[in-house]
Amino acid sequence: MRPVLAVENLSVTYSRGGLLARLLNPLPLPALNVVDRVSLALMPGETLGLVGESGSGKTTLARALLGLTPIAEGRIVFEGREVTSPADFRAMRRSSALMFQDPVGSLSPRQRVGRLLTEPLIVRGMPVADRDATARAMLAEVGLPGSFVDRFPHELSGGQARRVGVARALAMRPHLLLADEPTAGLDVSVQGDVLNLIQDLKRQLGFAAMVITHNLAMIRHVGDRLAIMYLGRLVETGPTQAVFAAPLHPYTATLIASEPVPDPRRRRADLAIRGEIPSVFRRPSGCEFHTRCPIARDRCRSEAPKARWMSPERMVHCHYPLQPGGQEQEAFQRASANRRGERHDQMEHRPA
Amino acid sequence: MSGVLHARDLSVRYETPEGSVHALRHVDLEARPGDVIGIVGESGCGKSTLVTALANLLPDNAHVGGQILYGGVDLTALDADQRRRLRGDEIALVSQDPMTAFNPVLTIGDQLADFLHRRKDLGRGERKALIAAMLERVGISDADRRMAAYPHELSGGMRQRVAIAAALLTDPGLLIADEPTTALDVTMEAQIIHLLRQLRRDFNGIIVVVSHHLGVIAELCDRVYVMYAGEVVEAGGVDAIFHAAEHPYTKALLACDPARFPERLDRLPTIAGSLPSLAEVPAGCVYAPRCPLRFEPCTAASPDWTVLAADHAVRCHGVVR
Repeated sequence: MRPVLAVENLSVTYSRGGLLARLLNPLPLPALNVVDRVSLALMPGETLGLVGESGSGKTTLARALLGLTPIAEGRIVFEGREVTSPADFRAMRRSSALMFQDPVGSLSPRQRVGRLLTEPLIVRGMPVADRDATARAMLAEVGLPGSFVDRFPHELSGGQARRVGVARALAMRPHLLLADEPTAGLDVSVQGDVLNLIQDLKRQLGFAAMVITHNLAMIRHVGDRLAIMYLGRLVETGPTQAVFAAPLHPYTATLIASEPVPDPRRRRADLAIRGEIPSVFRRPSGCEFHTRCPIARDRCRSEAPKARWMSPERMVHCHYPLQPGGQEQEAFQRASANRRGERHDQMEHRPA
Repeated sequence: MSGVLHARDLSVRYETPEGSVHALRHVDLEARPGDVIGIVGESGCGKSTLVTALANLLPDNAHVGGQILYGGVDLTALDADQRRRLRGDEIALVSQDPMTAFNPVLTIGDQLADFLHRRKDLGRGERKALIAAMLERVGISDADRRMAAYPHELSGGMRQRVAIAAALLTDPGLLIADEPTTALDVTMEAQIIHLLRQLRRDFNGIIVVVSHHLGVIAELCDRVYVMYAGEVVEAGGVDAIFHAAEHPYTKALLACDPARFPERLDRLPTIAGSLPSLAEVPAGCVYAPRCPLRFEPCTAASPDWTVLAADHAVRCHGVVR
């Protein structure tokens, strides 16, 4: 099957320093690799979860995929055709859509919902005979009453604004939907609503989706495959279930272990991870995760790991992946001292 | 003065041109020194109003009913000056957004020094040493260099640590953490949770953690108050709330959290319906319009507390002891 979207070695770099610094410095400063040699493929009807902490380059990657940020190198192939010129990107954007992170912020506060919904059609030059009827049909599709056409964005709740965002993104019947943090800021009861809606429409309309998020609990139920990003690089990819069951990269394992569990009987004693995500300005040498990795060795500090395919579906960028039953996995568990199930001694109830 | 915190029949109402908004209704809450209590609920449930009331920061147009007793003093009856003094000395608030909690044009060290303004007995050097020690305590290494830094030079997690250090500098008896990890990544969140637990060992006051994140509440708290539409609907020990919840809303809220299901779900559970308007609170139980177990009494009268165990009570007509 031909992927909807295939990306090979995509990099996005930002030049450093202002104009003056660049004019005065005889040698240009090395560019910042915000996205560094990312390769991905997205199959029709698939949902790919792109997971990483803030500053890992998730949003930049999504913008670069749609040509909203210039790419430094690499290839993007959309539906079998290579995308290079601005005209190619325009054509690609006609059959793809980006759902923005801030649902209310991405809607113009001065336009009513009806107008906001039909705007993508008008912009693309689609003939719209009856704007009102079209908008009502679109609202019905995302489960909102038709009367909402007269509302302004500030009159919508967070969940309703998301639904309007979904309707707008799907107005052009895209083959690819990029959803940037589709549930950020939503309550858990509403979050499920929005995700169920996207899943239903995906089944009905058959588009492929890439969901950018740092919410692991959510992506576990939504993503078919996961791609974990750290400092602009993909550190691990694989089927969601397999990655959660046995993460290969210590970073993935750490992320999964960091997620608080809503069960007071399974409080954690301590946490695997120390420190914070380093800045791309000071990208660590060797493996970029070695500064926080509980099982880093000398080789990790000096030599950058290459992509390793542990199975036809699972890629990892690590010298010492955590294979089930292997000594790395054991070392990781020992080093992280993350003993789930044991109660923390200081958390015992004190006598009142 | 550190003491017991006791809110009794606390209500907060705002008068607006559209009518009165009952943001908080008949809330009872109790905490002793050493307790970590959690307040959990979704947006619009009144948790922010409750902490604002506890921190004595409600705007002037708020009409407060009931009492907030702290160490035997009724906070709602204090004048502005007494309140201000109490806030600086006894009650500290760590807010949700570590980005805007600090003044961008002053260094961290200068801002932390302000929190020690009551300690007139200390010289400059002593203050600095105290601040450095506090920064170490919240896990910031290299305290001297950090004190010379401006807020924008610190990451979100680091700023949240500094905010916690600032709160602790006043040596409060009541520390309120309003969504302390919401703006942070999961690895930072885990570290802040760990820090708050460590602090608890030698902090003898009350910690109030407000969050919509059930995982954070489960990791941190001893006792939990579940809020819905301005009311506390269920209160109890953390184990009772997470393992023996009785209120239909608590159950539904727990059931919605995707983190509870290790296996992939095809459809995520949701709560049908929406929050009632706080301007027109339903006559009976606030949750009745969305409750799948609703029966006659629910729409007629607001339910009373049913005590299920020494440390577990619920407001629901459907629950019988």
